[in-house]
Amino acid sequence: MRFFQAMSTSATALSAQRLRLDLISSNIANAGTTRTPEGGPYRRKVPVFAENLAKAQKDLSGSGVKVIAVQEDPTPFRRVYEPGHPDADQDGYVLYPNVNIVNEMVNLMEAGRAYDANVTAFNTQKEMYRAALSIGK
Amino acid sequence: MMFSGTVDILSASLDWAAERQELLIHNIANADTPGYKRKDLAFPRVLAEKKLALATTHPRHLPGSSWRSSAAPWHKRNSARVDESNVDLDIEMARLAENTMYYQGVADRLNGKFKNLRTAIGGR
Repeated sequence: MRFFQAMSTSATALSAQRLRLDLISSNIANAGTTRTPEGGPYRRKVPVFAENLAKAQKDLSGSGVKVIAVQEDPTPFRRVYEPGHPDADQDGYVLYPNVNIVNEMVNLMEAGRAYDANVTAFNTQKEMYRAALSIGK
Repeated sequence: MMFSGTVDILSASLDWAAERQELLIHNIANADTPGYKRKDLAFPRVLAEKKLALATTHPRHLPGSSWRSSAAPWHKRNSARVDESNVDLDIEMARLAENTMYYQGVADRLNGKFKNLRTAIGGR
């Protein structure tokens, strides 16, 4: 059924954007974390989005988006001079996560807007479905 | 001819709009996918020709075709974004609204047609 497929397309996007929001929250929450189970400071996490193509490739319509990986940002950590910090090295420098709060906030807004857009898309689909159901009434 | 082709044309239009809606929703879902190129359906000019089917007076004449076989989703290759995606969310949302209105309009016309028929059948 075409209609229901379009609705699940919106659903894949909603879930992908939600995961993105979760990761942004995690990045912001851990912006000052200097110790992790893997050792060293927290590394910023980013989702990787990819187009989710329909199984039958000749049917060019896809079926939304999927998160193919959650990767760590490889950029270097921030080095801050803080000799009193327990995690400071012998020169007095502490490595802080490579999280830039301003960047995260911008991403947060973008993800929120994208989520809203997909909710709207879902609702228009519902309206169309209702119009189809009213035919012949 | 009870339906006089109107119902056929309207329902083909509904099919087209439903299919386009799916592509537009797919575009919106992939607004943040790097390298994604938007998909769309061309407006079926053949829809109008459906009623005025081409006369074939010679075996090599082409009969014309329905939009299903002729209109393929097209992609626009250019992109203004750093991540090489060419989805503009605002334009996509505008197209979505437009397509929904179109669908509702056609569904409304289809209802009108059925209402006329009902009046004719009921004689009231």
